[in-house]
Formats: sequence, C-alpha cells, structure tokens
Amino acid sequence: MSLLEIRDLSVYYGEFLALAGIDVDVEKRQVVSLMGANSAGKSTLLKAISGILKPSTGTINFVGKRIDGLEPHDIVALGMSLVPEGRKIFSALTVRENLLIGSYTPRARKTRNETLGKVFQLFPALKARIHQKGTDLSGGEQQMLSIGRALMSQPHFIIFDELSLGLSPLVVKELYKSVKKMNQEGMTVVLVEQDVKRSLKVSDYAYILQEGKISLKGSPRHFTEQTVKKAYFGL
Amino acid sequence: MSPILTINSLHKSFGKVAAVHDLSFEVEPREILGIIGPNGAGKTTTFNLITGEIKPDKGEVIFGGKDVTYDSTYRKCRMGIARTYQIPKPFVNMTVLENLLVGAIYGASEGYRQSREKCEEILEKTRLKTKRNAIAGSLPLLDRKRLELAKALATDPTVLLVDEVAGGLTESEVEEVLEIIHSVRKDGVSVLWVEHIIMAMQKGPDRLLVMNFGRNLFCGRPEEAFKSEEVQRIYLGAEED
Repeated sequence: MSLLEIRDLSVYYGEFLALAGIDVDVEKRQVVSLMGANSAGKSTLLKAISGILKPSTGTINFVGKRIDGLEPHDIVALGMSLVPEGRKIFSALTVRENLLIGSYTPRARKTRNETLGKVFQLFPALKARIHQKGTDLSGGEQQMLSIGRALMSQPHFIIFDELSLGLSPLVVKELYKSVKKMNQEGMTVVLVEQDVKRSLKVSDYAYILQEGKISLKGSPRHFTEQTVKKAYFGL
Repeated sequence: MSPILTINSLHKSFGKVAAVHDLSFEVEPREILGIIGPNGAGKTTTFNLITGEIKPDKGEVIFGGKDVTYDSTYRKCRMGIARTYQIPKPFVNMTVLENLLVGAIYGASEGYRQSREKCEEILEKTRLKTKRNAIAGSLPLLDRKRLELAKALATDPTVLLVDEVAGGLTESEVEEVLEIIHSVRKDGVSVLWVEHIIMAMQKGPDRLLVMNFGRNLFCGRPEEAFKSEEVQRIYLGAEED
C-alpha cells in the first residue's frame, strides 16, 4: 500500500461536482506535484486529504489507516502537515508563539526547541523577528512563518499549497533547495504550484487535474509541453 | 508634466526594524511603476503609508500637488488613491456587483444610478460580467483577483496601488492581468504595482523601483534593473542549472 492512497474520491459542493472519482498514490519519500488551472479541484483535494472537508464518496488511506473520517488534528498527529494557501497565520501572536502552536502534538512537543532551531536555520529572517507580532511581518515573511509552523509538528509528509506565492525569486530558489534537502532526509512532499516548470523539475511524479478529474499523471520526465498544456486546458 | 504622486524621505519603523528608510520616488501621470525587492524590503509598508493605513514617522506623501501624508484612508480614497490587497478581501456574502457598488457609492461618493453604469463598465473591463451575481466568497482565485482590481477601480482612482495581484495565477492568467492593467492606464490612471512574477515586471511597468531594506536601491527601466548585478544578488539569485 502507498503511503497516501486515495480511491474513487468525489466531493460535491451542493450540486457542483468538484472532484469526480479520482485516484491518487503518493509513495514514501517521493516528491509529487498536483497541478491544474485555477478551480480544477486542487484546493478541494487538499482539503479532503487534510480532513478539513469530508468527501462525498471514496476513501483516503494514510500510513495504512483510513483517514477520511478523521479530524484535521488527528491527521497531523499521524505525521501529515499542510502549509495552506494564503498563509493563515495568527496575526495577534508573535513569531515564536505562532511557531510553538505548530508543535502541539505530544510527539512534537518533546523536541520543540530543537525543531525551532532548525526552522530558524531555514529562515533566519524569522529569528530576527522572533518577538514581533504576525501582523507586523511582510507578506513573504508570513509565508515563511506558515511553512515554519507546519514543520514544527515534525511531519514526515508535508503538503505545500502555493509554496512560492508572494516570495521573491531568490527566496523561492532557496526554498526549493530546502524542499529537496528535506526530501533527501526522508520527507515525503506534495507540491501544489502554478510554477509548472519548477515544480515538475523537482518532482518524481505528477498529477494534473482538469475540471475535477485527473487529465494526466506520470513521471514528469515523460511529459512534453504539449501534453501538459492539453492536460491543463483540454486544448 | 508634474508628478501625480511624490514620496519624500518617508520613514517608518516597527520596533527596532526600519521597514521604510528615507524613501523617495515619484510617479508620473499615466505611468506604470513596478516595485520589486526582497521579502521584507518594505513594499507593502510603502503602500500602507501611501493609503494612510499606517502613519509614517517622518516624510511626506504628496498627491496632485497636495500634502496628504496625514489624511485618513477614506479621504484619500475619495481623492483618488485606491489599492488592492495581496490576499483578496471581498465582502464574501455579497455579490460581485454589490462589492463594486460599495466601492463606487462609498469610495467615489456617487449616486446609485451613476454607480451602476460605471460598475457595468468595470465588470466588462475586468472580465467579470458573467459573474456579476455570483457570491464573492464562492469565486475561484482568478475571479477573486479580478474582483480585487474591480473594487479598487470602482472608487474612480487617479492612482491605483496593486499588491501582488498576479501571484498564484497561471502564465496565461498573468497575461490577462497585464492586459487589464494596461487598459486601466489607458483610461488615465497611474499604477504602482508590486509583483514577484518576473515576466509581469518585465512586460508591465514603464519604470521599475527596486527596494532593499526600506530604501530606493534603483529606479529606472525594467531591462536595466534586471541586468544589474546588485539586483541579481539581492533579489533574483544565481542562475540555476
């Protein structure tokens, strides 16, 4: 069984079918890209995986357990963490407090100081602002904080929804380097990105969604610009 | 021609961090001025200082020849300074059209009938016409970004501040945003545009302001900015293999 195994997953919003019976597999230590035009169903899929919304039909298994009925915090405890689109940081809390909130599970709490050090190594800008309120950070720094908070739960499986959003090209390059490094150290990574070229370059496997269905999947090495465009837009 | 907006030695600190430091630049009428710089360089803070959401410690904001540094945000909006936000902030329970009407009636202080006509034009321009009755909270990302621009345009700006409207969009969607921004300028609006998407900053602006540590590091033609070694070092990073 794959580390993450999704079978025949459908999600309705009222009458609108956002995901139409899709299958997705993510193997341990892979980097997998989920791509597709805006409103293709990517965010819905991430919400279903992380337990924020319950699928209408289908199953999701993670580390051999069925998780599609679980609450988000139970899924985090199994070692999955999501970096949400739009940062969603706690603006009234300081940088340090925001990070510590990420380590609330008993497992992560034991080593939180060590993890904190690692996060500051990854984002020195956060360390310089450790006692500032979330609201006083720049957009890019908030994005770093959101990633740092996800790492604080010590996940072995991490999902980045729009990792590079709002970050300067230099920071994006460094982030992708750290993603590679995390992956080499054993982390399984799911990337949801609009930067198609960059995310395909680092991915072992990719799924492209179109109108709630998977229009293309496979190793990006076998993709051509044409097949990707067709899978994106149906042209 | 005299500039429509002049930023004069602006300064703002948060605690010990100087977010904007002795910053000066000018925006000409009908100019698109792009702003780039590392994260935390003070780009959004500069916008907040121009609109009055935060007040500077020192310096001036001159709009249309008048010192507006300490005018309130709503007053500046009525004078003709509008902005968009990185993360779209629509009234989620209202329709697209109602969102625009708020901008037109409150922001530009116009009557309903006049506003209604103008909003139809803006819906057309921002390609939201078929979505006019959709609830704003249900819109997908591209439409939320369009709405963010449309709301600001409904206030009848002379100067429009655009904060990362193209982030998270596909390449063809970014092209569409570029077209909208250019058509806005054609209507006589000056645009200040913060964006991290290099293609947009190469094609969109007439001039590019590069900020670093709250300062004006460079201001000039985009192609010169991107060629500069300093810009490559602090912003773009080394070429990848």
